[in-house]
Amino acid sequence: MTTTKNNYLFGLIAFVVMIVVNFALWRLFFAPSKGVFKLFTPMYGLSLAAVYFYSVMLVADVFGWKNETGNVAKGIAPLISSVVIFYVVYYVFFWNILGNFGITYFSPQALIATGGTGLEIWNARENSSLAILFVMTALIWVTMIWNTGFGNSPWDGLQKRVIGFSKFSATAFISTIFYAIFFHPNITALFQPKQIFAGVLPWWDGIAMTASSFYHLGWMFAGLFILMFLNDCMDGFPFNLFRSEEKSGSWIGAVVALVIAVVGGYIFMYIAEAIMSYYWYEPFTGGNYTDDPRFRHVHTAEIAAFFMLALMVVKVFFNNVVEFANKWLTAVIRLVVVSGAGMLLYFFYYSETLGPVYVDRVPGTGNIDATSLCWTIMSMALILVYDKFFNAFPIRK
Amino acid sequence: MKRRNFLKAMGATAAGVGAAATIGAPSKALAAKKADIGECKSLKITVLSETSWFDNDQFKKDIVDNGGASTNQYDIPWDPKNAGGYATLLEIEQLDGTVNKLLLDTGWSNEWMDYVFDRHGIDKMIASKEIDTMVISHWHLDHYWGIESTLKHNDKIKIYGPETMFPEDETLLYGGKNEAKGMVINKNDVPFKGELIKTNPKEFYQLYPGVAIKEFDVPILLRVRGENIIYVNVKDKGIVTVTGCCHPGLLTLYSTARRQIKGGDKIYGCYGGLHISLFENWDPKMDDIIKGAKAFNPQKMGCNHCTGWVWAENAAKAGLPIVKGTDTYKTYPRTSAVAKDTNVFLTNGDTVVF
Repeated sequence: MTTTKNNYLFGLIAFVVMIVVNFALWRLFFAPSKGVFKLFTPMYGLSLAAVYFYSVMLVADVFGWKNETGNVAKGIAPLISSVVIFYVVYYVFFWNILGNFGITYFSPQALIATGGTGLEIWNARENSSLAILFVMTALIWVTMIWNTGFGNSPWDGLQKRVIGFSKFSATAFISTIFYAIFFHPNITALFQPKQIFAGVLPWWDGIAMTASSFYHLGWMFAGLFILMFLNDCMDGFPFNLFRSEEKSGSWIGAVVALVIAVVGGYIFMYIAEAIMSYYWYEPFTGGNYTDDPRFRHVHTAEIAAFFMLALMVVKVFFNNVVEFANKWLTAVIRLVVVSGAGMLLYFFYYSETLGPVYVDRVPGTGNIDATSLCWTIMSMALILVYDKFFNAFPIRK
Repeated sequence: MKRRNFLKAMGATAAGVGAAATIGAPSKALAAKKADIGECKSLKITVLSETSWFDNDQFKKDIVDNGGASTNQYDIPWDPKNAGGYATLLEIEQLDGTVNKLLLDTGWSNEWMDYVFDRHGIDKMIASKEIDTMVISHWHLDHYWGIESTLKHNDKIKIYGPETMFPEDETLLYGGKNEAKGMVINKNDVPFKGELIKTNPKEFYQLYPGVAIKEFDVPILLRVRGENIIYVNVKDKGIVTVTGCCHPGLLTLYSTARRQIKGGDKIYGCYGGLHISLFENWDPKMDDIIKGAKAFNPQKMGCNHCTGWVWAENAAKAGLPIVKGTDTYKTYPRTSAVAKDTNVFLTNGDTVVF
């Protein structure tokens, strides 16, 4: 990114505009009480936001269709593509193809048709949405690790669409395995009777104090933040050690990215949950709200998402704020800035006044049904669109 | 940093994480000073009405059609024909033999609550001040909107309600009405003239020896916040929780009792809605609650209302001491569409003694 003197002023203006757009879209689509469509139910809205986030990633980071010019008009085509992909993936693929001809739980209508216990439109849609959210989490996680470690390797030098289809095929295949191991058992236990012939019961029950896959959501989101920080605030260190002019990544780079995402994600979750235990006592199996291990795990994901959102704001609108000759000092200062901004967002969202008014929620902490993830993922998707499809106009020159 | 050194560092980090994982959880939050709420001899519960609505599907439809679980309850034009209500009579026998009567909640439909109060003589108990105190568990429609049915017998009854009231709640309490989409959804023609004690989560509100209210400030669906829980300490038996909906979670209530009530480490049981499977669905969380409840070793669990028949059935199968109800509810003019012959709910007209 090339900087100009006007960057920060333009960045500030663009940031304010983004807040207005963010508020308007939230009120239009998601706001649960004062919204127009009220899609935050919460899982339906959350899964919609996650699918759209992945759609933008798919267009920009997998198929490499980015607008790197100052021409705003060039962003319209990829933007429309991302919306079309989102619609096709969610409503055509999951609801009408996969759900009707393969795996029932991806389609609310197919679930209702089974006549199973409690399966009417409300529960069925929430259950399907949860499954779709889990698929998207696996896809986003694997795709980011792939992009970080492999880059375009081993297809460097080929046409963009060849690289795109190859990367998509590889990441989708690997994601399916991760989904099956980390998320499908939750779905097994989601129905009465339990679907034990279609999947194992949650194997992490003993270590996570819950049968819920929110446990995996926690460390995966935390790992994503760490990868994002290394990529965006540390110029891709250490993954750049495994790249060359000919190869944008390697097997070793991918393994390192995977290890950092898993180990780093667990360390982040360990620290976050230790702090939660300090304030809210230890969680226990079957507890509710802040006592609920599910909430602690998903709250880790929420905190990581606040940090990711803060990172994107700092990077896209304020050009990462600082750049010193010493890269380690730069990294430390950026970490402080990003963490501070993330905590600001956290306290804003969970405040008694401003946050609840902005996002239209009842104040309080610990309500999984009021998870902040929908808002943070929607916000990140918006910034991603602005950054990748519109080249952060007019900030960059 | 060279590639080789970096990989070495990665190995060392992984070893460090492994070591850290064996250290265990970090410091616990400081325990609060324990409250002494005293003891009583026994607690008798009479289920006045646990059928807050009669048709689950219609209730869900009203919610879904108007935006979902987080929408404001005052923005939904609820089907008036589906309204019932939740109310419970507590009779607390003191160690000296005196009996205190306490009303928990006042239901939703005035027509239904008038019938229920008349059937159980609650109207006369309120009028004669035999019942002089009512606890509003929370401000949800099915626990509170039937306020007129209580106030018309005594508009000065002492009320304990969560401090987290919304303006519409106050409008109704002091003699007003609320409309949603042009339809009157509740009304109260008898303005409240008594003492309203707004409870906060910082303290226990002792009503009688062995009986105290604790407010839990939790966000609840339909834009409601906070719920009052009644803790009863029965001599030689232990703690019993009496709840409207139990939104904070049964095990959180038990855990709070252990940490904050003198003698609270001995859990005896519970009565009320447990808010587990409100819409008769399933989730791994419900398995967690069954497993977690066993760890507290309760002796007597009376549940109904928003607990979910499916959960109560599975809990009973798993060995939890679910108290079975009777067929008395069938003598009420209306019954819930989800009631089953398994009788794992204490239903309308049933009693249980702790």
